[in-house]
Parts: sequence; C-alpha cells; structure tokens
Amino acid sequence: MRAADLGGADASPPTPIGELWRDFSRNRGAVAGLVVIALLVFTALFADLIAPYSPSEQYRDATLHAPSLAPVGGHVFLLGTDPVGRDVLSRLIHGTRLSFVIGIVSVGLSLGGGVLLGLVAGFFRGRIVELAIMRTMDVMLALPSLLLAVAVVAILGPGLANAMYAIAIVMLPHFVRLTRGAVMTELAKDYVAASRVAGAGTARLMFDTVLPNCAAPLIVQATLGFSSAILDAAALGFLGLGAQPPTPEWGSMLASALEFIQSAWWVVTLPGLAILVTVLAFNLAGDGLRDALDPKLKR
Amino acid sequence: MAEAAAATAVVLEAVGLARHYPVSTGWLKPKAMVRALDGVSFRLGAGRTLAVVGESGCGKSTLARLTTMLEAPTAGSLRIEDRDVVGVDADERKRLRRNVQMVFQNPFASLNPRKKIGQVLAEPLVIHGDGNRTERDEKSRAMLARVGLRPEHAERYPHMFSGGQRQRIAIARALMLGPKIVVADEPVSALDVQVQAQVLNLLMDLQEETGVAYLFISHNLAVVELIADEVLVMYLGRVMERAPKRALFEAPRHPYTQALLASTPKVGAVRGKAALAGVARTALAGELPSPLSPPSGCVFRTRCPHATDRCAEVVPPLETVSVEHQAACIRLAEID
Amino acid sequence: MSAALPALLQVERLSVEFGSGAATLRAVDDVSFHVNAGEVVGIVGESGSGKSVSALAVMGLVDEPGRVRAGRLAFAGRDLQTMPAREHRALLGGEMAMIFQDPTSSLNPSFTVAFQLMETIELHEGGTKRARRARALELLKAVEIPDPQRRLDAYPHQLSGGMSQRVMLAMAIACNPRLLIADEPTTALDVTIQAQMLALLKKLQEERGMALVLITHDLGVVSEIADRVLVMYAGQIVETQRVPALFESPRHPYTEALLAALPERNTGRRRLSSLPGLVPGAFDRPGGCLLAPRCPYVQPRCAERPALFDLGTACARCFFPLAVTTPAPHG
Repeated sequence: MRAADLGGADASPPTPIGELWRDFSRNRGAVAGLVVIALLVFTALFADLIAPYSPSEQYRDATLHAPSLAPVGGHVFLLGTDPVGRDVLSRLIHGTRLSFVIGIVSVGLSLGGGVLLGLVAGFFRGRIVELAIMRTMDVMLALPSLLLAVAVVAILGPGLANAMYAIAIVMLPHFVRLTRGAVMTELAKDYVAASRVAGAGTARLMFDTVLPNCAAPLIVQATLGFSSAILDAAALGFLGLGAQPPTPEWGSMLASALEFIQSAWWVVTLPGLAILVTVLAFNLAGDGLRDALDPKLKR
Repeated sequence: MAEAAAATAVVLEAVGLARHYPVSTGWLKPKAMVRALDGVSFRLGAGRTLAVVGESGCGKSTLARLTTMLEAPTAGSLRIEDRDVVGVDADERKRLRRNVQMVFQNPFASLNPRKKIGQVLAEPLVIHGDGNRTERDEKSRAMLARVGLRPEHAERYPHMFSGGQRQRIAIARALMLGPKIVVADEPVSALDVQVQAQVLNLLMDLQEETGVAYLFISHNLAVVELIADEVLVMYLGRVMERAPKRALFEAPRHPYTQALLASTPKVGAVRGKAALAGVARTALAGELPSPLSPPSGCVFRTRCPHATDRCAEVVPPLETVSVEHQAACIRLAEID
Repeated sequence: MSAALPALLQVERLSVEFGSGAATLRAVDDVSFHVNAGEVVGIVGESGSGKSVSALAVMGLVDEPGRVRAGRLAFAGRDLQTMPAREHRALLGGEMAMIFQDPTSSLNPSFTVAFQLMETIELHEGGTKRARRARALELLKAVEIPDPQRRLDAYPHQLSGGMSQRVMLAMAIACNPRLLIADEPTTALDVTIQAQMLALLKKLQEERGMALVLITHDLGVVSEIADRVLVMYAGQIVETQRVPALFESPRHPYTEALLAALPERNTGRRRLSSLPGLVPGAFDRPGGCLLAPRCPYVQPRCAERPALFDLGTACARCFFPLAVTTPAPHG
C-alpha cells in the first residue's frame, strides 16, 4: 500500500523571487534605497535627454554663477556653474552614468575574478594553489586599499579606465575570501556529496552545484562594493589619478573645485551630495538585501 | 536457504576494507591515526539487503563513503559488480557510479536548495549523457510518480516539502540511473514513526520492483529486523558479528550484539527501576573509547561484561558460529 | 484520574500561536493536563504535535512572535502567568527545571563544566566558591559521570554526547527541583547510552521524589519509564492513559496507528501499516477532528470538533473511541 496523495506542498507556493521581494519590502530604508537607485539608473540611461546642457560646454560669460532660477545670458543654470562656466546640473547628470559604469565594471571584474579564485581555493584546499591564492590575497589585504589603488594607477597611468581596474584589484581579496568561505561551508553538505555520487566532475560541482548556493553573500557584497567603488573612484579622482578633465566624474569635480569651498560652495558641495546620496542608496538597499537573503533567521 | 544465497550474483564485495585518517595532534608532534575502519569484509547479493548496525564511531558512515567511492580505502579491496574499484581512473569510476547510488540521512541537507526537484532528478542523467531533454523529463516524472509524488512537484523547490517527501525525492534520485546497489545511510532516522513506515514501505516496494540491493546503515535495530536479510554489527571500525537476520535476532552470539538488543527500548515491556538498572548494567558500562587510542586486542573489551586478560592480547578473528553466521570473540564457546 | 492532592503542575487550556492572518499556526491547541508530585508523565507525539512547544510555554520560554494564552498555568498552587518576573526566574532552574535535546548546544562552549555548574548553584543557593565546587562534584557523582574530578575542569567540546547530557542533568537537578521537564533527552544519544540515561533519570526521579515530564517521539522510551502518557497530534492532546494500558489497549485511532507503525510490531509482515497523508500544517487544518482526513474509522460525525472525553481509565479525543481490549494472557 503506497500512499497515493501525500498533500504537502500547497497550491501556488510563492516563487523565490516573490518571497525575496516580500522580505525585502518589509525594510522601508531598503525600499527607499532601491527607489533612489532606480531614479539614478534612469538618469544615467537618459542623461543626454535629461541634461539641459552639454557637460563640457563652457559658458564664458557665466562662470562661477550661483544656483538660481534667473536666466543669465539666455540660459538657466539651476545648480549654478563651475569655474570654467560648465553647467553643474548637466555635469552631475552625466556623472551618474560614469558612476554606474565605474560601479559595474569594477565590481563586475572583481566579482568575476574573485569568484573564480575563491572557487579554486575552496575546492583545492590544502594544495599549493590554495596556499598561493590565499597568501597573495592576504598580502593585498595588508595594504591600505587606497594606497594599493594609487600604486596600481601609478603603474598603469592615470585615467578613468585604469582607475576602474585599480579598484577592481583592490576589492578582489574580499570576494575571494567570501567565496572561499561559502564554498567550504557548502562542500561539507550532503547535497554536494550526492552530486559527487551521481558522477559530477569538479567543474560541474563548482559552477552548477555549489556556486548558486554561495550567491547570497556575494550579491550583498557586490551591492555594497558598488558604493565602495564609487567612493574609491571619487578618491582617486580627487587625487587627480582617476578621471581627467573634462570628464564629469563626481570625484574629480570635487577635486578641481576645492579651493572654492568658501566662495562658491555649489561647485564642491553638490558633487559631494551626489556621491553621498548614491552611496547611501546602495548601502541601504544592500543591507536590506542581506537581511532578506538570510532566511535561516526567519524560518 | 544457503544455496539460494550462494546462487545470487554478488553485486558488492569487500575484503579486509580499512580506512585510516591521519590526524594532527599538535604542531611538532607526530600524526596520530584514526582507524575508522579495519578489516571489514562482507558480500552483498543482488536484490538483497545487508544492514550495517552500530552506534556512533563504529565506522558505518566511513563505510558508506567508501562503498560510494567518495573516498578510497587505505587497504583492502572493494569490488562493485565484480570490478575492483581501488585505483581506477576517473573515467572508469564515473562509469562505475552508475551501479552504486546513495540515500543520505538528513532529508533537509541532501537536496540542492537552489534546484527544482525536476532538475535534481535529471542531474544524474545529464551527467552521464543519458537521453535528450524530453526523455529525461519523462523519466523524472515517472520516477516521481513511482515514489508517490505528483508530476507538478517537479517544478517546486526542496524547502516546500516535508522531511518524508524529501526523502522520497532522494530515493527517486538514487534510482534514476538504475543502479544495482543503493547505499542507504540512516535513511529513516530523521523521520517520524508514521513517515518512517511510509518510507520503509516504499524502499521495500522498490526493491521488489527493481531488484536493487541495499546496503542499509542504521542504528535502529527494530527497523533492521524488518528490512534486512543479513546484518553486520560494527563497533569502533571492526566487525563484531555477521549473521542472517533471524539468526542475529534470535541467537546473537557476540556480547556487543546482545547488549545492543538488550538496550533497545521496547514498547509494552514494562520495566521497573531495578530491571532498568539491570539493563543498564548488562547493556554497557562506560563510554566509547577514543578512536585515536582504541583498546589493544579486542576493541570491545573495555565495556564487555565477559572480558578477560587474554582479550587485551589477541585481536579476535571472525569465527564461524553456524551457516553464514560469524562473530569476533575469543570466548564464544564459554558465553551464551 | 483525579488526584486527591492538588497537582504539582496544572495546565488548563494552553494555546500557542505563531504567525498572523491566514498563516496562523496553532502549534498548541487548547491543551490541558496536570502532573502530580513524584509522577512520571510521558508526552508523546510526532514533529508538529506541539509537545516541545507546550513544555516551553509552561516554562515561559516561548518568545515573540509566539503568543501564549492559558486559562490557568499553576505550579504548586502558584499562578505562573501573574507571577512577578523575579519570582519566576527563581522558580526556573530552582523548583522547575528543564533539559533539552541537543546537549552540545545546551552547554556554553566557552566555559568549563565546573563554571557552569557553579553558576547555577550560585544563582539559586549561593555559598563560598569552595562549597559550590564541592557541591558541583557531588552533582557529577549523582549523575554517574565517570572520573568526575577530571570532568569538572573539562570544556563541553571535550565531552561526548552522553556525558554532556549528564552534565545538563546535573545542572538541572542542582537545586533539587520538584519538577523536571526533559525534552527529547535521549534522542541524540546512542542506544546503549540511552539505556544508561533512562535508568539514571528513573533513579534520580525516585530518589528525589521529583516529578518528571518526559517529552519524546519514542514510544519505547515512554513505555519503560512513564506512569502515564499524553499522546499529542497536531497541537492537541488526543489521548491520555496509564502505562501499560495505553500500549495494550489504545483508545484513540491515532495512538493505535502510532503503535501499529512501529517496526517491532510488524515483524513477520511484509509491509508496515501506516496512515496515509501528512500531519496538518498551518494551511490545511481540518475544521472538525484533526485526524479525520487520515483516520481509517472516519464517520460523518467527525466533521465536528471532538472534546477530550473522559472514558474512565482513559481520556480520548474521539467520538468513536476504540474498545478496550484485554491483553492476551501470557504463558
């Protein structure tokens, strides 16, 4: 006699995404962060349409003009102009695009490389390759991150692209460590042994079996890494090692206008605010994601 | 009975199987050896069930890992379908895996949380390149039905199922490749009594239908009495007794087996304090010795009510008691 | 069934709920029972039966988001629900003690056995450090730990499962509790160690005149040690009866099914008998008798909710309780 209908899993159970959204949306700060990110993405995508003026066009008759609604020479500069007459608002808007590119490229490179190295280190524990990887990461972590980034840019040369590579390298050890830790935890579990018994080889075990289960902490780290990348790019730009003029990257905008902090506050403060808001939004959303992806606490 | 047993093909055979692990005892000190398994031999016939019984530290998990080729033995030979598995290369091992599959103890950990049930079932087929997508899906659904689940369950994730249902899925997965042997490592220990009954019934039904042989590891003697044909009793990595089921339960010869049987709580056997204390006395005083420093001679002697000085000197070999019934004790003739 | 003396522990209409709205789970549903002084009561059930949650609720250990409601919760005549927090804390670990299933997670891994034992003693009895250490040693001997002097200074990770459980027991009996609740105390132990543990529990219980509530899913354990058994299903008590009568003559179909599903009752048969279906969860709770969807004796009347009916020597939550069967004569 075999029990034919065992009931159990009920009609239309929530999908994993549905459950994730439900847990995520309980955190109001996280949702606010997500909304801001969505706005920023929109701004970045449609920068050309939204920005009133070109970010590099210089209006010589309106340099260091304070933010106002009153037109100057036929143009309205809502957020004022910088020392060479460029519209701050347009530069900020185009800067959003750059910030996202920085975040995506840096985090993408770092995540990709970090996951690969972490997987290898986790799977080949005790062998030389793990030792080599982890000790290299230890050395990298021992250096102050900004110093390391500066060193890399010094070797590669200044410029936004090289700044992104430098940031990717600086973030790498975090992803490697995280991945390796998660891999080690998962490797001890029965479902991995089950796949092994079914005949899975190392490659399949790595990418198909284990990696999807390590995704949660990696996603959170990536989200937070986004904001960290923007800050690092700003710092590098500030030092003159990142984006070069006239690129409207927020950090370099800050750097080139420091001397005006008392006389023309809008040139310094507004890019700083843009950085602040973006980083805050990513951090809030990242925190919310971490809480939502940690179901063991709830269940 | 004996002729029938001899006539069945042997699908799994171990001779003198041993597994030792080096363990570090300190920075500059020499490594110690944990002898997780020593001198284990047995034969499993096609369509039969060999139960391995023992408490923690007896080596049954290690045995499970060795027979499923998750680890290689330190010594001894292991033959699956009459092919020696020690020292084979990776490709050959993959081919051999078709014949041995495993059901794990913890139903909450043995299914990949990120895969749908359909994918979990299809994975062994994908790995071995069996059939195309449609064929694999068909086979998965057929197997789901066989274990008492519905086809729409293939689209769900493991966490939506109860422990008993997950164990059914695990059994279905184990059978996807049509193995000759399924190693069941405490498959019902984590389940409630009712669910346990359902899953045991399923295992027995499937064995009748497919002729699969079970290496059934358990610490629950009542379950073993139901499902086993032959029983292997282990303690600290060594075989204490080996016997056909009836012989073991009706006339156990080894003191450890007798203690195990006496210790198992039985429903309806009312016992007062004195009787309980008596059970505890004959059951076993003391705790399991550390596997890092097992007792010399007979490993069971530190807890055995019949131990003598000689037991510390000689490692007792498996002596034949009767047909297919062996026990490792030098005092067999004197004890009853 | 009614005790001449007032019961030591009185639980009336206890309910525990989790979740909210459509997803409310009644983990414990209108449970009433009593424990007399010096008695051994077994609470038996499968997972989801509410047996552990009931015990935690009695001890006041159910946290948010669980909601505990009871008509009356009294220990030795004192009302537990209105008791001030300080008095309640003094009671827990003092006159009412509890031990849990997993000994490895019940002991603090960062402190020695001596420290933990002495801490318990200090909280409830006080005394000099020397006196407390001597008392700790005494307790370890009472729970029959081999080599107690050495074990005093051991850390939990150096102890095996059986020994950790004995240490837990020592902590629990440190202040001579009048009631000990043991939640699955032997489930995580090997069967030979389990036998030792049960004998020890019974011995301590008799020596100290302690009432013991033993929560377990293992009917064999309960049959060896309990005087009386409560059988729980899906949050309700479905039967109470004395041992051994419960096992010889169960009155509720669920108890009968539990016994029938035991492997030892099915030797010689080809298959185990079992109930079809699963224990109801939060979403599929029947309106009437909770066992109705699975019960082999179901009748139309079972669509109503049965109360726990007093049948004289037993109580059963069933409109059609099973008849008393006299045990087969022995010999």
